[in-house]
Amino acid sequence: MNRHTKLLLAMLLIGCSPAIQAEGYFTSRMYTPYPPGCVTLPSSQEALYGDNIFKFWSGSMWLEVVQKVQSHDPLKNLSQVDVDMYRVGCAEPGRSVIMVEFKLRPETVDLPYSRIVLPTFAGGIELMYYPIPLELKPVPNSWGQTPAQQSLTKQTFGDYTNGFDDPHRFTWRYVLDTASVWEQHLMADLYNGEIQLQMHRSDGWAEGFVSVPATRDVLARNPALPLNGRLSGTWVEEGAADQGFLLTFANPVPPSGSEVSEPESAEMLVFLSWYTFDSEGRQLWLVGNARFPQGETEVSMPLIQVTQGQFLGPRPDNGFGSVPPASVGAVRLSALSCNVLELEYDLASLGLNKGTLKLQRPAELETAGYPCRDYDARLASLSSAQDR
Amino acid sequence: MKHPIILVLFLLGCSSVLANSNFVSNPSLPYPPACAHPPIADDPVDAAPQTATFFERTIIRFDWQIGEYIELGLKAYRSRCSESDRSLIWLEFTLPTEYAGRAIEIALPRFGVALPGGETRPMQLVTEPGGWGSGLEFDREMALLVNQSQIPLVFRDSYSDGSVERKWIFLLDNLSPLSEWGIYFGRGLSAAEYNSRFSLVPLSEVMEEYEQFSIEVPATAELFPEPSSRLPLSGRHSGLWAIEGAADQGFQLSISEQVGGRADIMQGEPDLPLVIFFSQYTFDSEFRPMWLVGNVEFEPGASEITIPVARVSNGEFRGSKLAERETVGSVTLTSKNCNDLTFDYDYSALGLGAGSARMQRLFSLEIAGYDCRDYDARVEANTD
Repeated sequence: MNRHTKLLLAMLLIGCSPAIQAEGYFTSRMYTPYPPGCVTLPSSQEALYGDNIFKFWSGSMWLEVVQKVQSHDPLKNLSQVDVDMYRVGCAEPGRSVIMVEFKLRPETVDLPYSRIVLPTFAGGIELMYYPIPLELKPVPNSWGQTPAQQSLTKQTFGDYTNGFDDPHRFTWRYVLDTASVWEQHLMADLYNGEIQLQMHRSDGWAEGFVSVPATRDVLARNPALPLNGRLSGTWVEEGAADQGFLLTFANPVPPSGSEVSEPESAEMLVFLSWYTFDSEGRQLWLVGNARFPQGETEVSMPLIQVTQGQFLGPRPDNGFGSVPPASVGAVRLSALSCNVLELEYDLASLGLNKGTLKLQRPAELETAGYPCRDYDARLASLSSAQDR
Repeated sequence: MKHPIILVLFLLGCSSVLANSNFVSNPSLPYPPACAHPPIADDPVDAAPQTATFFERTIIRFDWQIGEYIELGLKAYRSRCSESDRSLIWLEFTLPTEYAGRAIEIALPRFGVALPGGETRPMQLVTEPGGWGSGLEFDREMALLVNQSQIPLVFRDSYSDGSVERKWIFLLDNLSPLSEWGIYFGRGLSAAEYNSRFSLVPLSEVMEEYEQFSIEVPATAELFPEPSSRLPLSGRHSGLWAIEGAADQGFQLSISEQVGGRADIMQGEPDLPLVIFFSQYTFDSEFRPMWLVGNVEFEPGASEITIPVARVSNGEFRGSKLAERETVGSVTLTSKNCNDLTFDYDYSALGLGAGSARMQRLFSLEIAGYDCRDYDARVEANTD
């Protein structure tokens, strides 16, 4: 990207002053080895992001069962669990998420109030010497337990209170993520490379090794990314100086007093503002907004131009009469990845014709604490832009 | 906002769609997500107490490692938020130092809220505030408090420092409203209920008979008559803002984190500050459209920032011609809470004078999936 066209913002991005210590509350977790915008709750993943999935391991494990009364025979405290492991492809090139799925067998579901303890994982290229701890997380991209909390727990699963009425009911899926409390992290390049996984039962017994293929060898990148809140922020077109876009993806709430049903299913709303110049070089700001269903990868909206307004005041009675906002064109916005949006516009009525442009993040900025890409990808992208 | 601006034209005529939980925030949170970071006992700016302990005693729990009962410290407290009548409830478990260095495994107790009529509404203790949870049904997952490493043996030595008092802190939260099949299970405690006085009781299936006790949770208003007077500016402030009565104009804020050096990846390297990009869409003194922009870096934790504001003119639509930039004033934004920014401006150079106004969210819109307020508060504010 041309240095002079990175928005006004670029001027202030140099000469950074020291800040206070890292604060997880204000920034994202930089060790997440997959793009946070790629992954959702496992139960929703396929419906939203497609079936760009590669299963690389299927087998079974003997895992520890904890219950009120432990047997002195360690083998009686174990239960056999079927395990599948997948890579799930992302819209970002060379990125995927590793998911691990545990399934209980009907014959093992007979102990009320017992719980099965999840195994622990380590990953790396040379496991014998450099195993890096990994965690199974039910909530993708979460911070997990932080050292500040001094909270260290073991995860268990199990439910034997309702009977085994459907195999689907006894499946648990987790994202394999870097551990929160350790200094070593499997960064994105390594996580997406050809690695070995090592599994340990909670009593320390090694369950063996699993070879994980590299993302690039088994998955193509997803061609699109659902529009979502992580795409909010500032966007620019490369080469277009001193102008750009601000996007806000929001989920509206109903007015007070109205019926609220399943608010998590609400439509989303995008508000777009385009600050640019008209055919004579004068300031031109255009806005548009539209609602769209969750999971959509593109949205169209009319563009509005507002004129004859009053600074911080109501519509003026200034002799021109009240001029309502006027539609002057339309845009279609789609997300190709976390850092590439495509915008088709029609501003023929303003003498600015039609066109298609690619939008990118200026200086790789993303919403604080809510990024779309993993940190490595943003850093690489920033370096690449600076080199150009 | 009672006075609509441009957006109102398009907010009508919406239709409902299929459910999905990824792209919107969890509506079942009884607290403002922006408040729900681990509690900070001493706010360097706000001198008023931020936490209030209302329960402290020992409880007896079964240790699965050794097969015997041990005592565990339990403390409960509320930490106040910047939103009116909102606080968080935290439960802190402490392993006495006499057990330090010993391997233990204790089931994390589960709690419910006692309802009139003898029923109990189950709650969960979470380490990740504001999340959707695992999406699993209640009673299908639990945690063990352990005092040993759960990772491969090779790492255990470095983490088994017996001198450290082990402490676990959890936030009291509603159950996830979704099952693993995406079925909506409805909401737990409302924000009003969570912030009122109630009794928290251990669920009998995991507690011994003789352990029964209840925790009387005081109302937020009893402990904190006033909300915290400030909220650090964060990514959750990003989005659309407007000033009531100012027609056809508004603001977009984008608060971002930079990439580059960070102390947690490069020792000795200072963290990069956050960046706010401010844009105001308004009109000049002759009623012509005018957009003003500004940006500045600021340290995480700041709740007040001053931004130099520029006007750009004589540019080229989608072209590379550099425009003329002119600094025309400055703006100071002060964050009081998720829906209340004070906008102090000095646009004297533009003939628009100086002044102060209150910025609020437009139609309670917040960044999808990254809300600042709880759902109830947003609905309540969205009165028109």
